[in-house]
Amino acid sequence: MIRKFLYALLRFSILPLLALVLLELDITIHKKGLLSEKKLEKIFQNSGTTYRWVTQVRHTNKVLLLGSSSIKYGLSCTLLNKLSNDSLSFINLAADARDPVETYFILKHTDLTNVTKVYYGIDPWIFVKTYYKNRNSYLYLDMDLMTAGRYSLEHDPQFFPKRYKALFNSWVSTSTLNASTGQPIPPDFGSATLDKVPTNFDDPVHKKFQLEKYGWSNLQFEYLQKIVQLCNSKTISFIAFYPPRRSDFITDYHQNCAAIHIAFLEKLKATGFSTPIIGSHDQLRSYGDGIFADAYHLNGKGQKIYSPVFLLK
Amino acid sequence: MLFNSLDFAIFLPIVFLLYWFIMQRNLRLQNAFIVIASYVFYGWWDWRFLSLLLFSSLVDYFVGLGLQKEQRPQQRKILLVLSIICNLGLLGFFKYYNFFVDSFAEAFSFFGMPIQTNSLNIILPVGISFYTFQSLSYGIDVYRRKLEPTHDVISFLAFVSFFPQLVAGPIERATHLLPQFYTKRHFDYARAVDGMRQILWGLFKKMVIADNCAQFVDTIFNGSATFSGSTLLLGAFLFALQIYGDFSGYSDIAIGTSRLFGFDLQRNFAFPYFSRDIAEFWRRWHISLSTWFRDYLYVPLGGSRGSKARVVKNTFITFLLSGFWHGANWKFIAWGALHAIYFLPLLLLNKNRSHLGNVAPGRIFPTAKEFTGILITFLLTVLAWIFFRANDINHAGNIFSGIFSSSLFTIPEVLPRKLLLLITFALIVEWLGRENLYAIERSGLKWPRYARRGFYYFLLLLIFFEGGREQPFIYFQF
Repeated sequence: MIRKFLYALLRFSILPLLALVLLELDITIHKKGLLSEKKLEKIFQNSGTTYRWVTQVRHTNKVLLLGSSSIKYGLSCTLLNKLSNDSLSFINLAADARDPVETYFILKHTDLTNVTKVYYGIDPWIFVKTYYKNRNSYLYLDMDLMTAGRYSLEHDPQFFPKRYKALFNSWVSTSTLNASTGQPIPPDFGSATLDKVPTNFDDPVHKKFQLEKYGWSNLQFEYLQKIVQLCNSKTISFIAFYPPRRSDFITDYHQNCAAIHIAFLEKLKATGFSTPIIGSHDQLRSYGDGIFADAYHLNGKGQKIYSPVFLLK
Repeated sequence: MLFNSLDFAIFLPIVFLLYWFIMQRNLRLQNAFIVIASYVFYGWWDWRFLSLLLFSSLVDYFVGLGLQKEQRPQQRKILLVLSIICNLGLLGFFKYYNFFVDSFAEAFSFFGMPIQTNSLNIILPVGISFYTFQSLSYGIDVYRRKLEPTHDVISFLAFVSFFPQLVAGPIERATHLLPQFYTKRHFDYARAVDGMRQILWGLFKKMVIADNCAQFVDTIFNGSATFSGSTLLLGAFLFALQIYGDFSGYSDIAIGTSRLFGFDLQRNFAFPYFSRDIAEFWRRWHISLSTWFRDYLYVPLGGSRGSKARVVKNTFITFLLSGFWHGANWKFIAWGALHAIYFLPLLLLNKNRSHLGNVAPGRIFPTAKEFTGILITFLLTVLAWIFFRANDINHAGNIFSGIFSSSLFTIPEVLPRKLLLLITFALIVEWLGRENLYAIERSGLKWPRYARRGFYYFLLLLIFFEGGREQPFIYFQF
């Protein structure tokens, strides 16, 4: 009887197992196509439409700030504009956990008329696959089955449902551009002050990489380079920079991430990125740790200190 | 170990195969294996608390033997008191110590005599309320001579620690479960298939309904000050479904898993949200606990014998203690009290046993009267759940004042459309299956095989793709 039961269970399981095998085969065989610019554009194009308000900023010398949360909260556009005597008009397009892939499609779908400079804040840990859990789950298609299994166990129990949903999305998704217009210009032109303790930043920085398990995300390097190329094609100057960090971050980074950082720079070089990166993590060291909300983000006071320092550089 | 975790998905097949292929030849071996598996299951959470489980079990095992030998009433009573002190002592220390200390301190400072107290950093052992009650019922039943004490320590340890129901019930009675350990189990194909079906429905309720509701409930209750009355009411409604999906889902998985091993556990939920009055609700919600309180508290207090005043008093005590069982917080006592108040009119009018059968038997739709009864009862339970979910009494009060404000008649700020669709699907399936032991017990049994399988695959797909973020079972904290 028990054998009959196990046999029945096996027969019942064959169909779902077969479906999973086919889905994984599809991902493996068509990975390149699934992660092509055309496919990714469908996923991320609406991100760009959320910045339609950039058109409404009337200035002949617009400067875009790009990157993740450390840029969003680290710099105040209003303050920067004031410090430049309104000769420049800063616009902050950075957002929490934002990566080069999404940033590229934002730039592509944003009106770049009168944009003369783009500043990109570099966070090396965003260029690793471990970081995918903070990003659009479509990027889960960028992992082989073994890595996916491990990632599912260690980082996201919902990994496989999200991965297959992303795959289905790629089959059926059509261009449904969010056509909203007339968005108001946000206060401080997209910059914000950090008024709560950020989440997802409890781990020390070296634990964010886990390169030995999941490796670098080639997609992120590739799309950073695409950002540079897009800027070049529109004669916009591209400048990369390191935002400031708290002393415990700097110590951890120096002690545990030196080799990783060298590898990061080599990867940048290998993808054709030749722009020098200005600034350093310890540029605000003399102000102490009180200007940081956590190891990665400046607080309101820090934002006021960093903005003029940034402009001078 | 959570039922909805990968650990359990690996643990269960291993235990199942060893149990039926290696241990089947010998009953004692089979029982000993259940004890080991159950202790591994429990120790997976924190092995240090295995000693409590063992202690509680051994106390009642030896108390049982003592009660059998001892014929003098006074000595028998001492043994029973020993069992009660040990079990409730454990529960009192681990679950209620800080509550009592803090409440005393608050009471003294209220009367202008502040006192210094020391709260302890105590970890609440998972499932302690369940296994102590289960173990305790054995001692009481033996004392009452309703049950012959067991001499088989392995069977008794297996009875107390049986892993499918160890941490969140159903709270089994020794009279029901213990004899099942005395007889050799044989694999029963139909029973195992039925168990799998019940596990599937339990997982659906837990992972699709409860876990998805949890995300909205947390958002609404955590930000209750910023939401409108309609959103707060929606939050309470979703919590009602969350706790039902969570706990009845757990019970279904527990009962289904037990059936895979040849055991029958008692029913814990009988479609409580289709109850036509509160009395019926309490015959259908957490049945193993309600009947425990009925048999070991309400009846010894005098039950429904005596004057009305006495019956009312007994009812209130039972409901208040039932609330207190859930946790060391005044909000649970308020929840119990509110249910006692709901119950009171039925009791006074002798209408507490009006609805003993299923609603709308043999019909698809209920009558208008039945439907109204269901709706009112459901609404009353939803309001009571606010105490249960709120952080404390004050928080519950704020939510009530938010609900009963003009903003109750606005469109909720949070409207989880997909979740409401899933809930509607679940409620339809539950309604159609309400005359069975669990909703899909007989669903599709008359359909062609491919259609029935299609239905099961559909449920699996929903679990896989629509399952919410893994949440611990709510009743693990009790």
